[in-house]
Amino acid sequence: MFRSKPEREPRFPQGERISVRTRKEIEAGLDALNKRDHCLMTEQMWDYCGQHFRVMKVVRHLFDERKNKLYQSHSPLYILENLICHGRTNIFPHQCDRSCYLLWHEDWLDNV
Amino acid sequence: MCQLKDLDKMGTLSRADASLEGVREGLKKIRRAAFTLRKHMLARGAAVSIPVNRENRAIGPEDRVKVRSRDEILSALDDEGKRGGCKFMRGMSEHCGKTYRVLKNVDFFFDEARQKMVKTKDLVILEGATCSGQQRLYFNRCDRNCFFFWHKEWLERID
Repeated sequence: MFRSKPEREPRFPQGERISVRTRKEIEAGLDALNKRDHCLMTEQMWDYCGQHFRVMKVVRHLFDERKNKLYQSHSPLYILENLICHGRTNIFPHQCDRSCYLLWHEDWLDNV
Repeated sequence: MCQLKDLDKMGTLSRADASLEGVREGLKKIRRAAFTLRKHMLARGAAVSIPVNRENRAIGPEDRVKVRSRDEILSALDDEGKRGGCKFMRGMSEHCGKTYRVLKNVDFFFDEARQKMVKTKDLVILEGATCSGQQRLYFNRCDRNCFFFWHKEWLERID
């Protein structure tokens, strides 16, 4: 009875082939910090614009290790097959090897 | 910058999961005590020790490895269920005895909890060995699909 429903139903099911929208389309929906609903479009992710991928998982819940709490995402997010973070950043001298799957906002994806 | 920084802003707390916060904390303490007890019992009986050798240390990207059995791994963990600081998580047991390809050595990683980059030793991630996100006393599972960290001593190289 406590379970709350997601605010939006996901448009792309698991296994669906999708295309990442063009840089221009994505940029139009980002804020000044390159985010859409707080989801960051990282530098690496621009490389995948216009390409086709398969949805690996619909991300409805995210565990935040910093706060040690589980959050339910506001808007549907996705992880796409084989798209993992390369870990390179200009903030740290070393690259992060954690290889997290990149999180994609639904508005950045389109049907093939 | 990293997407992990704003995870808490990307969503709202699941009320059902938040309501069991205290229960989870209590259970964590009990589990820790039980683990210590189990370790002492194993030490008395037929404890299996994992050989520490150079071959393990040489495991690297593209190598095919077999994950050792759960008992072998558990017998070499400390009181907190860790080996060299790396925790053997409950969900990792299902990968024991299976064969994987090493995806990457983990030399550094961004520790979300401490919000800093951490240097590590003898850790790797394996292709396809990811967390299912299922946790005790949570109604919902995490969908982040993180790769598990494996200590090289938990693996055997397959030639």
